[in-house]
Amino acid sequence: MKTKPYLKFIHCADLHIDSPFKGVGELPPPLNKHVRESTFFALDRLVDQAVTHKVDFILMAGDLFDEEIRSLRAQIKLRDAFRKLKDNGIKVYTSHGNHDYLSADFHPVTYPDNVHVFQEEQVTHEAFSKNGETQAIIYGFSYHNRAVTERKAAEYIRTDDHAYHIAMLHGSIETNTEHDVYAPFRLRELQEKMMDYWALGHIHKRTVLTENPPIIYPGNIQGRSIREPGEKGCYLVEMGETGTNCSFLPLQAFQFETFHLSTKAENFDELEQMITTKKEEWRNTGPAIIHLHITGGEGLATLRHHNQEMEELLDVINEQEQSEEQWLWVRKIDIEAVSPWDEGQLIQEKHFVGEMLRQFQQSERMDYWLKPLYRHRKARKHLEVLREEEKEKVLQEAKDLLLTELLKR
Amino acid sequence: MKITYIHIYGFGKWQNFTLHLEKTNFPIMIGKNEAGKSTIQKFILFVLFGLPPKQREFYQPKTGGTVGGRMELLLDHGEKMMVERLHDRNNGAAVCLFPDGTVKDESHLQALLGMGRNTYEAIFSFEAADLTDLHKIDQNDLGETLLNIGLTGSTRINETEKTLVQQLSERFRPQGKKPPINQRLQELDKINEQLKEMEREEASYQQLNNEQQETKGHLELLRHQKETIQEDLFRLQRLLQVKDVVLAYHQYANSSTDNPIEFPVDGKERLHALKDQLLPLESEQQLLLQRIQENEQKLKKLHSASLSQELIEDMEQLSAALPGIQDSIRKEEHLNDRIREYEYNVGRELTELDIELTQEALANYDFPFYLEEEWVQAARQKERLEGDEERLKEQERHLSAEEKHIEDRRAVWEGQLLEERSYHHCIADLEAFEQKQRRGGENEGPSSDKRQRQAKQTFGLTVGLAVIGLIAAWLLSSLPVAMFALLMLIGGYYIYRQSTSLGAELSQDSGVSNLSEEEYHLNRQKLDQHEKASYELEHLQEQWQRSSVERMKLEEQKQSLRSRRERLNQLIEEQRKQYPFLLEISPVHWVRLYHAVKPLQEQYRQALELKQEVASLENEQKKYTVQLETFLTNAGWEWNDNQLSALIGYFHEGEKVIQEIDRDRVRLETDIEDLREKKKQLEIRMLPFKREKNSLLEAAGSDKEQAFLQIAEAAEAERKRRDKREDLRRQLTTILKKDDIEDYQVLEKVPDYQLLEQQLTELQEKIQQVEVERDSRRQELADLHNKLSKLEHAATFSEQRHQLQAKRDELQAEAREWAVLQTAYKMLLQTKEVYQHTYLPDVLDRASDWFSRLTGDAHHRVYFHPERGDLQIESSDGFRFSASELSRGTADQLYVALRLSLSAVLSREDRLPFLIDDAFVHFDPTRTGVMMDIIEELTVSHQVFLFTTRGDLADKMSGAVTIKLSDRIAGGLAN
Repeated sequence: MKTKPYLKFIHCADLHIDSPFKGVGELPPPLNKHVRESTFFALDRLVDQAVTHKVDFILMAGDLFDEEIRSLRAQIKLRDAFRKLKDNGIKVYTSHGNHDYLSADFHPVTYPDNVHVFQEEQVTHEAFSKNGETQAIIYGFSYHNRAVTERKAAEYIRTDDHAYHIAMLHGSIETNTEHDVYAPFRLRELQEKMMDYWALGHIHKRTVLTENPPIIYPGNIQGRSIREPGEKGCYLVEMGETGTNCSFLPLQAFQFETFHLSTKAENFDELEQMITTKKEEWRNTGPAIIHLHITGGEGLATLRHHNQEMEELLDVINEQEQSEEQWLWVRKIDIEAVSPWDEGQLIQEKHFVGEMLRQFQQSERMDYWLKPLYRHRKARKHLEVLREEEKEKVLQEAKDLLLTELLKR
Repeated sequence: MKITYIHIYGFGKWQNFTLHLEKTNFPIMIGKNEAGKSTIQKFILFVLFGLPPKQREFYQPKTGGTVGGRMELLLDHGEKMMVERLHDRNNGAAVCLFPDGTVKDESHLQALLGMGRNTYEAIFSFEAADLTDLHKIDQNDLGETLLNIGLTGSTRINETEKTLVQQLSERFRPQGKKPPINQRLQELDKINEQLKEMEREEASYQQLNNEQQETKGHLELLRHQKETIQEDLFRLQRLLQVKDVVLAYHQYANSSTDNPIEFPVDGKERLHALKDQLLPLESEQQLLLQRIQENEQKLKKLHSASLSQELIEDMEQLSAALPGIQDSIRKEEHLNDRIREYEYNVGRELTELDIELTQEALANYDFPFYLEEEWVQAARQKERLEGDEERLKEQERHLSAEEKHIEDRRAVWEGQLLEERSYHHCIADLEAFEQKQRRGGENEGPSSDKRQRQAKQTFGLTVGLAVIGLIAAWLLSSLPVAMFALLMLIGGYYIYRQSTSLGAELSQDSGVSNLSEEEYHLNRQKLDQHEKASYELEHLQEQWQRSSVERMKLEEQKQSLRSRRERLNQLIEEQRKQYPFLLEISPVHWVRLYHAVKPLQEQYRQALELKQEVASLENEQKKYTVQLETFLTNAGWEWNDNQLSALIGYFHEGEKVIQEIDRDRVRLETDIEDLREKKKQLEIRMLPFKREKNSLLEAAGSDKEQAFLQIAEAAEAERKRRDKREDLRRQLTTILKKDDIEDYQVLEKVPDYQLLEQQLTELQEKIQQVEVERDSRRQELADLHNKLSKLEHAATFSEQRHQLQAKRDELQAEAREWAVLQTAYKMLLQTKEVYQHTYLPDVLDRASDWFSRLTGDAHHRVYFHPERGDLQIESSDGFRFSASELSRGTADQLYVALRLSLSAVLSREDRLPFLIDDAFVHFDPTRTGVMMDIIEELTVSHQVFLFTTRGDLADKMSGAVTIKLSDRIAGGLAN
């Protein structure tokens, strides 16, 4: 048995370069630029890390950019990144995912020859050679259309080469329901394939499904919404005699983070003071867009539904952030407060409030009520239909609002 | 439920205040304004529902003390319960005490009440302020407000609804433009438009790319075109530049002769050089020739000094045979030594043996391989024979002694023997005696004895004859004699047998005797003696016979020994005759002699053989000597001795001389050969020079050196001319390119310089044109590149898209806010609608009655108009109008009617006390009466607390108890 060669590569996926951020809203110009350029920044850092660590190649497991965006700039930036990698003798193996599927309309940008794109819809493989010796066989396929629903795992057939066998797969593990289910697989199906590494893509949350062999979702390289919190980046994989070592390298320009607070504050001034103090504690996490979830008592409850004041509070909190290096932008404050009434009791009563609460239990007409705006001729193309859990929240807020108003003394 | 006892420990202005209300269902609290009516009201609410800490503190008595108190409640099923609530105990929570001592907490109380404070207040509490609120309401909204009063008993719903509507429309109006969401939408539309435009722009990227490629191609084409022209241009310029050279070249070309002189290049120099090289070689050649001749002469001399070929061959043969001869001489000497040694040895040995045997005789005897055996046999036979003879003599002596013994005995015994007659006579006597004795007695006849004796004698004779015959036969070796002897022996024996048997027969016929006893005994004795003797004789006879057989045997043996002796002697004799030296030697020593003599003979024979060998050697030497002598004579060499060794010496000397000559000759021949080889090589070295020289002369067309030199002069002149022309040509080829020369045939003819000038001008113009076009294309390419680069690096599109998303996010947030308001609003409406269907008819029914009574039957009915969504009033004359058209006063009456009616409807199951402020029912006296009647109706099912300033109100009430609050405080009545 020959000795195993030393192989070093970076595995990333779901770059979604230049795709806009959801739920971030309008920002002051310096932060706006920072956020807007963050995917490019993360890409640059990816290239820097590859060069610093002198990796052999980079695996990019699909969704490098968004079909619906069709950003020429993104493609050019990506090409420039590839060129820089080529200058440093680093190869790139990539495939197209559900967001950058092959039949989509893209600008014709030619990549340099250090980039191998797995063009086929079926799984093919490509040898990686170093010093005239085949060191790795890399497997992959591309989405030709937006949806690939067949199970692809069966198509991965390990060759006889004495080398590392590394499989790229853009698809969902069946247990994940957060993302659209494309190219689904069960963990066991992958484990049976005797690969040395599974470079997955599609799911944005960083997940190590198994360690031996490593089956890894590296997540995306830059969080895109509050639902993709924390550090984002790629995996640096080192293979050799002693086995495989995977370490995470953060690449993000800024993070999304939700902080939970509890308070006794009963007015906006107190609230502002508390948040300002807390913010300085958080600042070392690096630039971040923050959602605050504040819990409190009846006193805090009275602050709810004061939309105007709430907006003013946010303005005050964020006022100085544009001059900060490690800026923290509070996007939203959720308040969860103990209500002064007992809803369980109220709903029993014959009185109007009781009847209203009973009515709240049947909310089937809500879609119809929201129609004037959400189905509005102009608005509907810009507005996302509210998700069920969001609708439930809206309903709760509406109830809370009504109870506050009706039971006001 | 009924409050039967109130004890205020401290609450606002009330301190340690008690009320006993067990007996009344309708307590009327009378007091002026600020008398503490509403405080009691608040206290009741406080005990029942509690208050937040801050509000509790608000009711802290100015004089200090505990905030709180207790109330006794009579529950519907007849049980009593004391509720105590203190500000600073259990965080203001209530404690329920039962008569049996059981203690329960707040939750028990709340479960009992079955509703919250808000609801209780809305249904059971009527304050003056409520009406005041109604008065604030706009006349237009009155109908709706009244409807809401009918629905909920409060204006809150109405207010809330109004706020919501307002907030909604502030945010968004489906057809509007100004509200923020509408503005946001416009903004988004605008960005969207811009994005579309940008997208189109980006789409042109591909086209621009293509154009760029095309332009690049075009530029490349132009560059190539320019290069071609430039090349042509340069060529023309070069041609013009060398105009003078070309002209000079052609001048020389024309002047040169058509038939150039054939003369080898550097002919003269080359000839000299060749000669320089040839000279030393030639002198060397001469030297070599001379030496060869000298050597050849020497060789000839040597040849004459040597022998002829034949003699040389002879000499070589002799010389070859010489070592053999020398060997044979040495061998001969050696052999002679050995012969001498042998002869001496044999001689000495023979002398030692001391036999009559000379060496020469020894050689003549044969000692065959069996001889030794024979001699051994002879010795052994002689020995054995002598032994046998000795033994036989012994036997004979022994036998003779025996025979003599037998003879002696026989003589003894024969002497004792009776006479035949006497014997017979004796026998007869004895018999007769015995017969006489015993009448019988046979007696043996003496005749038989006689006959027997005769027979024996005969037999003895015959046996003796037979033995003699047999011995004779053995000695004579005669068979017939032996046979005769045997027959005699048999015949003798037969006779003997006959006579003995006859004797026996005869003995039976014995005569009679007459003997006396003594005689008898004497006879007997004689007879016995006789018999014994005859027996002994018989026995002796036998012994004799045996010994005679023995003798015969002995004789036979003697005979055989004699013959053996004869044979042996014959053998010995033979041997001695054959080997005379044995004569004096006993055969016993022969064998030893054999062993002594045999090797001697062997040695002697070897000596003989050696002698033969010596002879042959001598023969050989003699032959060689003759040959040598012949050769020496023939060769004419000096010799004067005919001894072989001397001859050999002469031969050697001669041979040495010859060999010397031979060696000299060989050396000379080799020398000559070497010299010849050298000469040959020299000639080979000279050959190319000679050939070169000849070809040089030939090339110049001459065979003499002189002519050659003349031609050389002529050729020199011609060449100089050519060199000049060549020089010019070379100048041209260095300046001009090969293609230039070929294309314009520069060397063949003088180019047309005028035409060339013209072409030059044309090309210069052309190249300018190309350059101009190239510039414009370059500009084009730069523009394209700019555009592409701009597109590639344009961040605005990306920015706009992010902007769009940001604004959409804002829209999303705004829309969500709107959604909350909208949902709240719609939910409110929906609940109202439900209420309208479930409770409103009942409430309006009762309210109609009370409103009719309160208005003195001026108004007949109140009802809900679903289409209009408000309350309608029907007057007693059948006229219908909206509630909002009512006068203030009437509206108040309707309000009270609706509220009371609603409370009545909702409190049908919850029998909690009503708390009514008189300002609420503050009408004119007639109406007050009606009002009080209505309130009294309520007291049937509920306890009603009426708080009023008017002391007269209670007068007409039968079940009412009046409590004057001013008295209590003024009088300090604490009980």
